[in-house]
Amino acid sequence: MSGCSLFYPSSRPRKKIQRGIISNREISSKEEYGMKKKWFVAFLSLAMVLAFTDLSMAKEEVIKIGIYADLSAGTAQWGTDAVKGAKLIVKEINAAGGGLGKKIELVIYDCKVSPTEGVKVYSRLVNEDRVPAVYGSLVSNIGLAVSPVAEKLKVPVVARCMDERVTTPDFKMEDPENPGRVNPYFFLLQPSSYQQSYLIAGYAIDELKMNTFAMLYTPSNSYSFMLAKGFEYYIKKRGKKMVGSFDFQAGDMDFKAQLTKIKGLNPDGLYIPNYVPENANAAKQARELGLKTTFLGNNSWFEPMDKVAGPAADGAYFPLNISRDDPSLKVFIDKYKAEYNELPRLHSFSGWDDVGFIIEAIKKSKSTDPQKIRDAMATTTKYQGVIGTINIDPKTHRPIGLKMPILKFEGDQIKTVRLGYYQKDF
Amino acid sequence: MEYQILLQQIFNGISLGGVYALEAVGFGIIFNILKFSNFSHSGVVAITAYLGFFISKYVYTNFLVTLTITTLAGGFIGVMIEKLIFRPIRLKGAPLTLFLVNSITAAMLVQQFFAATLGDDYYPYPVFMKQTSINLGTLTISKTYTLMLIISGLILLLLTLVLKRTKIGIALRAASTDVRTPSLMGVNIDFVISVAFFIAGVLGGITGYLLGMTYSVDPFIGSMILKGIIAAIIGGMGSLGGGVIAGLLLGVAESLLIAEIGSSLTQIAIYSGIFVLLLIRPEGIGGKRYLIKA
Repeated sequence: MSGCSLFYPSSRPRKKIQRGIISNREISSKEEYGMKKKWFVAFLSLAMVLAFTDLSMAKEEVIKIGIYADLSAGTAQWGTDAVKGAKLIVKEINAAGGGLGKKIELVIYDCKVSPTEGVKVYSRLVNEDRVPAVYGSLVSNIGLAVSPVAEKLKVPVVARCMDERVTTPDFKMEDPENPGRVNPYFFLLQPSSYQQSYLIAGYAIDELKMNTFAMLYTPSNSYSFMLAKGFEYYIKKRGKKMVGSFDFQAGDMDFKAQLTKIKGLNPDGLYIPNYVPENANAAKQARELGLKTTFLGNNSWFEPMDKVAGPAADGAYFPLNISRDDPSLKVFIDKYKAEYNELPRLHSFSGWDDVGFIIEAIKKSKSTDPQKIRDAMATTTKYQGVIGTINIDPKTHRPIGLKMPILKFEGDQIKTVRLGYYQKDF
Repeated sequence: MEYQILLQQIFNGISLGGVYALEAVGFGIIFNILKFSNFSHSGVVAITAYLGFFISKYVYTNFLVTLTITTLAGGFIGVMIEKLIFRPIRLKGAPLTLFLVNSITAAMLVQQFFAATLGDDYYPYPVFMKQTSINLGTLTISKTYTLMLIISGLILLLLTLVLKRTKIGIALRAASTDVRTPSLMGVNIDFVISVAFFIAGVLGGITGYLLGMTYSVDPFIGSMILKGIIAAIIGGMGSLGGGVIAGLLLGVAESLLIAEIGSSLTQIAIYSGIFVLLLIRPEGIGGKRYLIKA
């Protein structure tokens, strides 16, 4: 630090006397200039120190992968499960030598089911933790907020946000066949909203022989909204009838008004695509009102729905990304049980797959440059995930043609009725 | 057919409105005396909703036992909240805004506490009774909602008796007109305020338990008292009878409107309706004009 004195403007007082005509104002600005210089030097040396420490830290040889997940409030169980799955695959890959010869390290933040919080922690992962790729929250509302930011910061996000507009921002609900421009930095690793609603609608029409439908959804949750729109689109294309479409507001827990109306319409199937508490309340209230319509659900009808809705969910059909009855998943289920002493739920599988996909892209690109990892992701085909073989469509950044098991509630038990289903085209 | 649906919707609305009425009265009784909006009421609701879950799940599964315990616990929590966060500032003569700020802070604290500690799981109450419905002609009446309505009615009746017939009830009513004068006449005003918080807490306890039982418990369950607050405003802040009527009206209006015009338009219709009502009659349905409101 002795170097500092070299820059000290020690000659300044003499100049002042010599010239004698410098105004007070000029003196002060000159002094300010001197101060600035001093700060500049201090800052420079600090920056150099930091630069060196950064270099020495890089020698520790880790590859960081960022995660922002919902670990508190609302959908926290999904976030917690996803992180558990993610940690498990990282543990396994690290035990086998890691990626590119380096250990994988997860940097995890809680985004609290809040879009603004999601943007905040994503930016933090990119700007402060300098991660080359991020595994994001599965909540579509958060995905919608993070997507444009990811496009600016250019660090790829892999997530389960099913709303099409997260990966293809110009998606039009009336024209799903032309998804429009793709966000180069956002990826979805499961069938999207439209795909999943087509699946259950197709099953209801072809296997359950239903003709008339009603639905109960919330526009406040883009996931629920897009599922409902997709369902309606498919039903109409197949020439079936939507007799009643009902919505509710964020935070509403009482749907008796809508359900009473639906009871009067008496449709063959009632589609209820929301989160667990809303689905459970709708099922319970429908049964209390004496509604006998068969429920059709979304992939949020899986556990803990059996616990929350209980026997009210009896008879409901819904698509799910996985079935634990699938023999090929046994290895994963055993590993998970050994680690956490509980059965994996849907998003335990998601966490495993999505972080596995990121690591695969890092390996494929042989780099920790976000751009190269992104390029590798966009062209990934035949990635063997636990939910199936994932082929990314470069035009939409969504997987192509993933089949889904169809599950059914019998009492408060969830049974698999079909292992891999795919709907007819209209 | 339409006529039966209408009847069913009105019944749905009344059973929903019963809970709004409970919330409105719990909220209004504090406003009556201390003249501030007590948002910490949502904290009582959330705590008792969780308490009810843990008792019925792990200690003893019985509807009435759990109801009694949560009700008393609600009263106790109400008194504790008063002693911890309102009494100190009241004795210092703090302005009303500070009461409001404290009550919001307490509500947020409870909510965030549950979000951080219990937020990652779901807490469905055990099934006390088979979720069956009774058919009265073509009208389907669910047992739980009927029970909710009966309990709300009984509690409000009991409260009216206490307020009209007992000494402490008279003191409470006196304090609601003016806090200082009764204290000059030898009424122990600290005790009266404690009792008010106890009653509000009891109502909060019942609300929390009923909400938790009918829906499932989550950290944000307390925010469901928002409708009760709206009912209290329509009813005339501090007017308990007005709160009950407004709660029932709000429930019925919601049920009828949601079925006919959809939930998003319903909210717009209801809030603009409230706006118009308050422009015409700022004191609400049954309220008196107050000079200070916070």
